[in-house]
Amino acid sequence: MKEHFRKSQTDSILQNLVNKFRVDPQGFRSYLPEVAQELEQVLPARTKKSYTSELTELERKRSCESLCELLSRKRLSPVEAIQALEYCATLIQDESLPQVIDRKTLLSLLGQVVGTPISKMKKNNKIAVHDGEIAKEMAILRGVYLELTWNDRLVAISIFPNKFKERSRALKLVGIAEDSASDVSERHDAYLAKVY
Amino acid sequence: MLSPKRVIVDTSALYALTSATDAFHTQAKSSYERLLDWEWELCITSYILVETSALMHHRLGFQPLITFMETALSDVVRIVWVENTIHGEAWRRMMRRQGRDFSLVDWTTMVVAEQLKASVFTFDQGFRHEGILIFPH
Repeated sequence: MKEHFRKSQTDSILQNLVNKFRVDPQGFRSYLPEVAQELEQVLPARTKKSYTSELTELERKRSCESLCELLSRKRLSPVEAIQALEYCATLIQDESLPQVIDRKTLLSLLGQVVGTPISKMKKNNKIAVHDGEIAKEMAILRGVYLELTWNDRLVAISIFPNKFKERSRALKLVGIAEDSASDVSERHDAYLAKVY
Repeated sequence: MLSPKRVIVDTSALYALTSATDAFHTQAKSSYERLLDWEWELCITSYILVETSALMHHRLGFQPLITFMETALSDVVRIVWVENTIHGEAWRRMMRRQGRDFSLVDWTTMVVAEQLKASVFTFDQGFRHEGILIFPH
């Protein structure tokens, strides 16, 4: 049987749903996944102000070169380590951080700035670095967030150790089995045809 | 917080991650670690879930399938349940190509990627040719 609502009632219901979704998208999704999926299609994907920008080729090259030059030094002062982290932040937002800058390097830089190895931290922590107005926050490692000014100056580092476990859990899948063939990922459709 | 970027993890990436002997394993592992660290929203469609499960169960056994399911159903992965409008659009595209180039699962992935403005974590370069952003670049 079809329910009859006044237009003002349907508008109000819809607005309430949109508001609930905006406040807690994850929670909303767990109760009403189909509605959440439809709202995601209708609402702008990035409702928050985003300063993420793509670098020009020249900016990317300069940032990479400056970062590599800093990392090639035998020892970094705390100021240099902060500078290196700022370059990393810029390149991560641009999705162009070179593969050679791995997790170990990032952990080492963070450890130098914070003064303690990140992996040994057990409680939530926030370490102030520079004065400045925070314009954005981004994850550099799971559970480790950089708070940055609009032009990527590092204001503070926030650490949430409980997020480290999430990462470990998600990595349990990696390399747990071996296949006699090495081309299954690439040719999975052909291999699936053999399954059925 | 900058809005998280979204990525749909397809069967090729999931299989390369799980199988240590796969040609793309190392690349898949380093890309996956980055996605986890940069806290991208990892999505798997229900069709990818079924396709990957069948492949893993058949080729790798039941234990790897259990680990895969535990990861897929954990809080770091979001499952996008394919409903009839997505399925219908994917099927229309497949019909237009007369079944060439891509499977129905791939077409579904592309439709969802467009709707969620997501990249696709894949080693199938065909997605790029269809204008979909893929990861790793």
